[in-house]
Amino acid sequence: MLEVIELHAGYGRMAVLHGISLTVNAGEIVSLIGSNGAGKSTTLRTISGLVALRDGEIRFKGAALRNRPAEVVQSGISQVPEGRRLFSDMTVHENLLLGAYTCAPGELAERLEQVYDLFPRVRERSRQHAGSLSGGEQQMVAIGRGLMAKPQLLMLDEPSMGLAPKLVAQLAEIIKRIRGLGVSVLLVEQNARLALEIADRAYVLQMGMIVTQGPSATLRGDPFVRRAYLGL
Amino acid sequence: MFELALQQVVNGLLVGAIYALMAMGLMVILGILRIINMAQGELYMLGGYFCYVAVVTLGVGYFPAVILAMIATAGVGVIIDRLAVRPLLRRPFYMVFLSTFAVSMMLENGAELVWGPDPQSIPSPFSPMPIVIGPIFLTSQKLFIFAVALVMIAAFAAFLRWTRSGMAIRALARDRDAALLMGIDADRMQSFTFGLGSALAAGAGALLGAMFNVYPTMGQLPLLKGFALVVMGGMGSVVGVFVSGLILGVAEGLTAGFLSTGYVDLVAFVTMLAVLMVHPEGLSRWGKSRV
Amino acid sequence: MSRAGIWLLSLLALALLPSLMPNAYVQYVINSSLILAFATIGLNVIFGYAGQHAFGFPVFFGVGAYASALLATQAIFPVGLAIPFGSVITGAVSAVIGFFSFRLRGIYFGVGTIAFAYVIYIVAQNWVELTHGPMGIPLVPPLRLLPESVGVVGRDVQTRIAVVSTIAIIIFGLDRLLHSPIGRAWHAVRENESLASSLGISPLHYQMAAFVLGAVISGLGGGFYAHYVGFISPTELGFHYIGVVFIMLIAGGAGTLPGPIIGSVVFGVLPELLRVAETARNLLLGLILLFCIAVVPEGLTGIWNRLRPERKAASDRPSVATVPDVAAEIVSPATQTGELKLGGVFKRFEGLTALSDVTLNVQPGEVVGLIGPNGAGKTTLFNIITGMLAPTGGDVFYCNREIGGLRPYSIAALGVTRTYQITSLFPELSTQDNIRVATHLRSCRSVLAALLRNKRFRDSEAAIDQTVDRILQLVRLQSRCDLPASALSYGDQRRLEIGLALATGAGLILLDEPAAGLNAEETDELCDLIRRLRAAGFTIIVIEHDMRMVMGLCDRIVVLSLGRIIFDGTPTAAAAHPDVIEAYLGTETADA
Repeated sequence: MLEVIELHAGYGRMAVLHGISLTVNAGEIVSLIGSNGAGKSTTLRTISGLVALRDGEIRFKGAALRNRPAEVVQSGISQVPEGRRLFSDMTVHENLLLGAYTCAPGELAERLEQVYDLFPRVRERSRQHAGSLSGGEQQMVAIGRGLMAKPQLLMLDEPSMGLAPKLVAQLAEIIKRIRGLGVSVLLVEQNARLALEIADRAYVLQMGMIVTQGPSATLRGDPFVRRAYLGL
Repeated sequence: MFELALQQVVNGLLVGAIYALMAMGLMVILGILRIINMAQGELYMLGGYFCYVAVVTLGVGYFPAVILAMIATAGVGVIIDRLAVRPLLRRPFYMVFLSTFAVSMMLENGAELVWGPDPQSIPSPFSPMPIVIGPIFLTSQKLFIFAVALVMIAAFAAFLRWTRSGMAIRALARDRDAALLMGIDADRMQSFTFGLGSALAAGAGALLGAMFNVYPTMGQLPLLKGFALVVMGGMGSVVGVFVSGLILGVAEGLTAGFLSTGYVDLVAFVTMLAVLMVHPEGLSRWGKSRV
Repeated sequence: MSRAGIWLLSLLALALLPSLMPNAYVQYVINSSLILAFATIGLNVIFGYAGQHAFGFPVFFGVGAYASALLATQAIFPVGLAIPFGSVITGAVSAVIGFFSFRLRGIYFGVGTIAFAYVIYIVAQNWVELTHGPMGIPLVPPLRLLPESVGVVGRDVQTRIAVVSTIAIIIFGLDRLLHSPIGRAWHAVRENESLASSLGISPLHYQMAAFVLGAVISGLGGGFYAHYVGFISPTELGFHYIGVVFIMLIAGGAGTLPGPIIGSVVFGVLPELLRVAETARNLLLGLILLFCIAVVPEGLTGIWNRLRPERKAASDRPSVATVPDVAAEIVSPATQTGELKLGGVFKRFEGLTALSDVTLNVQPGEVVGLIGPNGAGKTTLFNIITGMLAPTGGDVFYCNREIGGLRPYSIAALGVTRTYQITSLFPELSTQDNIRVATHLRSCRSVLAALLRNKRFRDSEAAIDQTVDRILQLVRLQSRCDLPASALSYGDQRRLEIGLALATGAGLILLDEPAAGLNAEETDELCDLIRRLRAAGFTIIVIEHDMRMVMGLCDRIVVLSLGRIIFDGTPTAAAAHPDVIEAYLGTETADA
C-alpha cells in the first residue's frame, strides 16, 4: 500500500535520510525503530510532506504521492505527530473536528462515534480544553484526531514518549484495535521492545539508513538490534 | 462638565468600535502570516473611497456600497498578498514589513492622484435629525453605524469560532505544522486570510467615511492604533481587541474633551508602550510571538 | 586604485563638482541630499551593521535638528557648537528610547520604535512653548565657516564642504570600528544573536552602542539641516522622512560603507532629474523600494559588488598560506579550568519537569559522555550550564563560582562554551572570520584603541591572527579559510563549530551531538580531536547518540532518563547496567 523508495531528505545542509526504502501493506502494523537522531521522525515528516523530499519516491495505493501535506491527508495518510501537538486552547471536540477537516460534513457524526467508541475517556472530556488533559488523555485525543481523517494508513510518531508504563500497555491495545478497524499502521518508536511487541514487521534505522529489517519475532531476539541501540 | 464627559464617552465608543474592526483585520493577518501589514491603513482608506465611488458614481445605496467596498478591497488585498507578500515570506520578516510599507506609500499617493487630496464625504442615507437621550446628542446615523460595526465584529468572531475555515485559521495561527497535518491548505488559507483582513479594514473605512470624511492619508494613524489594540487586547482575542478598542475610543474622547485635541493620538501609543513594557512579547492566545 | 583613494576622490568630487552647476536650486537639492545622508548613515549603523529593525529610527534626524535649532535660537549657542551639542542631546534621547525599546522582542521592537517616533512627533506638534508647534522654529542662524566679508565662497559651498568633511571623518571612524572586535561583534549579533551571546558577546551592549552612535550621527545631520535651511518644523520628524531614509538606505545598499551615501545622493537627486511632479513622488519611491526588496535587496552597492567578479571574499586579512597540517599545535585553554559542580539542579517548564535532582561533578581534564533517550533532558542541562536557561532550583558552580542563572555571555567569559545540536555559525562570514569573531573575549575591545589603532590594539589583533591560524590548522580548514561558512560541507561546518568553541579560550567545552550527520571516518577524526583536546587540558562533556563513539571515547558516562540521572560510571558498566538498557530499549509491557 505504502511504498517508500530510496528516500533522501534533510534540513538545510544536513542530510538526514540517505536512501530509505520501506513498505507497509494493507492490514499490517509496521514499525520503524532506531536510536535518537537516526531519522525516524524525519521519515514520517517527509512522507507527510512537512519536509521536502530530495530524492527518491513515495507511492501510495499504486500512485505517486506528492510531497504536499494537504494532498497526503486527502490521499488517506494521517500522522499523529511527535509530542501530540494538540491545539491546546481549543476543546477536545474542536480538535477532533479539525482532524476531520478533509471529510465531508455528513460523515462527521459517524467518525466522531467511532473515535469515542475507541476512547470512552475522550468522550467524557469532549468539551474540555485540550490543554487541561493529562498526558495519556492527550495522546488518546491525538490518536483520535488522526483517525478522524478516515485514513487508510495511520502514522504514529513516538506515541509512548512521556507516558507511564500502564498507559503504554493501553496504547499497545489501542493500536491493535485500530488495525482491527481496517487501518494500517506505521509506528515510529524509540521504545524498541514496545514496538516489536505490537508490530508485525519492523525496520531498524541507524544514521539515516535501514540497517536491518524483518518480522518482529525474529528481531526480538536479534542481538544486532541491541547493539545498534547501545553501540556494543 | 458631566454632560461633556458623557457625550465624549458615547462618541468614543463609536470610534472605538470602528478602530476595533480595523484591528481585527490586522490581528488575523498577523496571526496567520506572522507579518505586520503596513498597508492595512491604506486598505481602510480604499474601503472608504470604494464606498464613496459606489454611492456617488454608481448610485448604489449606502449599505450595499459598504459590502461592495469590502469585496473590492478584499480583492486588492489578495493581489497585495500574491505580489508583495507571498514571494517574500521566506526572507527575513522586515522585508515584508518594508514591502507592505512601500505598497502603502503607493496606494496613498495613488488615491491622491485619482481622487485628489481634499476630503470627500459619503452622502448619508440617514436623516440629520438628532436623537436626544438625556444630555446626549446622537444621530440615527451614528447609531446605525455603531450597530453595523458591532454586527461585523460579532460575525467575525462567530466565523472564527464556529466555521470550518475559522477553525482552520485558528489552527494555523496556533501550530502551523499540526494544522498542515490536518490537511489544511496553508497557501489558500493565507490568501483568504489576507482578503478577510482587508475586507474588515475596508468595512471600518466605509463606516467611518460616512460619519466623517475620506481622504488619502486617513489610514496612517488607524494602522498604528490598530496595532496598539492588538497589543493591548492580545493576539487571538476578539473580545480583548474589541474591549480595548472601546476603551481607547473613550480615552481619546475624554482627552480631546478635557485636555487638548492635539494630544489625543498619544493615548494609543503611550498605552501600547506601557503594555509592552510589562509584556515585552505581547499578550497572545495564539502562543507566544514567533515573529 | 586603493579603496582609500577612491573614497577620497569621490568625496572631493561631491564637495567641489556641484559648484560647477549654475542652478542654485540644484545646489540646494544636492546639499540637502548630502545632509540627509547623515540620517541614512546613522540608520545604517543600527539597521545595516547591528541588524536591529528600528523602524522609527530616522526620527533622530529631526530630533537633532530641533535640538540644534533650539540651542542656537533660545540658548544662543554659536552654530559651530549648537550642532555637535545638539547631536549629543540626540544621543541622550536615543539612550532613553533604546533602553525601553530593547526590552521588546521581535516585531514589537520595530513597532515600538515607530510608536516612540510618533510620540516625539506629536509632542513637537503640540508643546508649543518649546517647539513652536506646527509653525516650527524660524530664523535658525546659518552655518558660516568663513566670515561674511569673504564673499567668494558662497554659503552653499561652505555648507557642503563642512558636510562632506564631517561625513569623511565619520566614514573613516566607522571603517576603523568595523574592522575591529566591535565591528565583528555587531556582525555577530546581527547574523546569529544567540551564538554571539554564547561566545561572550553581550548583544544588548552592542545593540545599544549602535543605537546611540547611529542617533548621534543622525542628530549631527539634523543640526546641519536646520542651519542650512534656516527653518525646522515637525515635518522633519514625520512618517514621510522615515520612509524616505529607509528607501535611500536599502536602495543604496544597507550594511555597506558607501551604500547610505550613494542612496541618499541618487534618490535625493533622481526625482528632481526626472522632473517627477511632487504629487507622484511617493508612488515612485514606493515602486523603487518594492523593486529593491524583490530584486536587489543589496541595493546599488550590491549590484556594483556583483559586477566585480575578481573581488575576493571580503576578509579581514589575506588568506593563510596552505601549510601541511603536521601535528597542528593545540591551543590551550586561555582561562583557568576547574571543577564543574551541579547540585540538585531541577528545571520546570509550565507543569513539565524537565530535570529533577541532577547532581554531577566533572573534574578538569575529564571527557564525560551524557547519554539518554529522546526527551531525557540532556540539551536542557546544557542550556542551564551555559546560561541559555536558568535553573528553577539547585546550583551550578564552575571554578567555585556560582554560574546558575547568569547570562550566556557572562558564563562564556568565565570559561564555559558549547556547540549546538543544529549547526550554528555565522553563514555570511568566511571560515576564518567566524573564528575571529569567536576570539572576542581575548581581544582588545576598547573603542578608542580601535579608532586610534594604537600599539595595544595592533598587538592584540596580531595575537588574534595567530590564534586564528592555529585553530584553522587544528580543525583542518586552512585551505577553506576564505570560503563563506555557508559554502562549507556539513562535516567542515561541524569542525568549524568546534573551532569557534576553542577560539573563546574556554576550558570547559560542551559538545551537543557533534557527530550527528558525520560518516564513520569523520567521526573517527572527531574522536581523535577530542582526545588531543583532553591531552591539552580541556574538560569536555559530550551529548551523543553514536554509542560506539561514546563508549570508546569517554572516561565516564552519565545517563539521563526522564530528567533524572540513572547512572554515573564507566562506559563498560553502563552498557551492562539494567536500568540503562531499559531506558534505551524500553520496558516490557504487561502482557495482555
